Amino acid sequence: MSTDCNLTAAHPRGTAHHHPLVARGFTPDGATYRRGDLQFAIGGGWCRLRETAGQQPDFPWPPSPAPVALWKWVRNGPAAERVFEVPSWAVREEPDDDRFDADDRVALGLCLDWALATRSGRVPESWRPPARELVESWLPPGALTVQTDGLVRQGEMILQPDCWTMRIPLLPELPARLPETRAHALRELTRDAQSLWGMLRLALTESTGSRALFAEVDLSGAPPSEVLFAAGLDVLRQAAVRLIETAEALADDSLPLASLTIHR
Amino acid sequence: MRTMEPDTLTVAPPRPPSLRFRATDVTGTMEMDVEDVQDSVPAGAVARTLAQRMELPTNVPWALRDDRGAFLVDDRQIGGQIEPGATVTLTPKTHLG
Repeated sequence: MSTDCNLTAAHPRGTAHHHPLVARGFTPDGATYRRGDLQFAIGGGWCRLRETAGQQPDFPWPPSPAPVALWKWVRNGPAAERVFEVPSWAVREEPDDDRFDADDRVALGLCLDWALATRSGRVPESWRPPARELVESWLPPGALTVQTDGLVRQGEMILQPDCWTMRIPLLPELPARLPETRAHALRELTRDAQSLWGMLRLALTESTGSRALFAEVDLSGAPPSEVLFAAGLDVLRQAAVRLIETAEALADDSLPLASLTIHR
Repeated sequence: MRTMEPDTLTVAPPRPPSLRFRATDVTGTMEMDVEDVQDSVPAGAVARTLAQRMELPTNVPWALRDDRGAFLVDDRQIGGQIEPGATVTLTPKTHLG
């Protein structure tokens, strides 16, 4: 909590984030805020909205509706739940402040609006992605290239009328058939990764018979904030560097992995 | 496109295409077939990756030469610089003078 940039959840009414939350129908509830089955809390460096209803034993498979923006399923103790998380250092919380400046942190109220608008799995029709030239000016050269341990991956940024996503393939080509132990381990890896890294989501896509596993940060519907973009890019790169080798090993059936036989 | 587990990206374009080519070190003693490199990866990153795979020193800057001897441009996509099935040579940049 000490890294939360003047954010404290101990006394909600006395904090700056009280006003944007109350203005959007949230009411104080101890150290958190609630609106229906949504709970807002700050901690560990993150502003987090979580759905307190609809928890399941583990990730639904496949999710329906498909999540957009930063909504995702995470494991929380014995159950899985949907959350929306933004790093608190990327959030500016001043009372009644909804102004927007692309070079600045994002007002908490705008983050809340973004989360609430995309909760249903759709990006508001009125939203438009930022100009490609602007976003590319925020992207350091080579930032979407990840190289680790003899493996290299090229990520991409997708900008479409209803989509603003950065993604890096962990497995550009997932084998069509994997032994169940490896498939299980890979699923566990993706679920744990999605739960551990804020903003990060894992996506498995299929096209023309081939499958690929991606790490992604989906800013669809977001205000075009450089700070938020940089935070997402950092998460994406950090996660990809740490996941690529393990994912590659799990997907390579010719590579003996003794640890997989233990749980058989 | 059909999307699958665990969380889906419905707008995602098809998977990144990979490029198949053969790589050798500058002495010709090491050869490897490369099948898992996306064609959108910059050639410089491919060179560093291949150096690691061949267990060559990583404190040396590496470059790739195509089978006609031309050096690939580090920050350009490798897929735009070689054809599938090409042979590239991993060369230490320190030898360039």
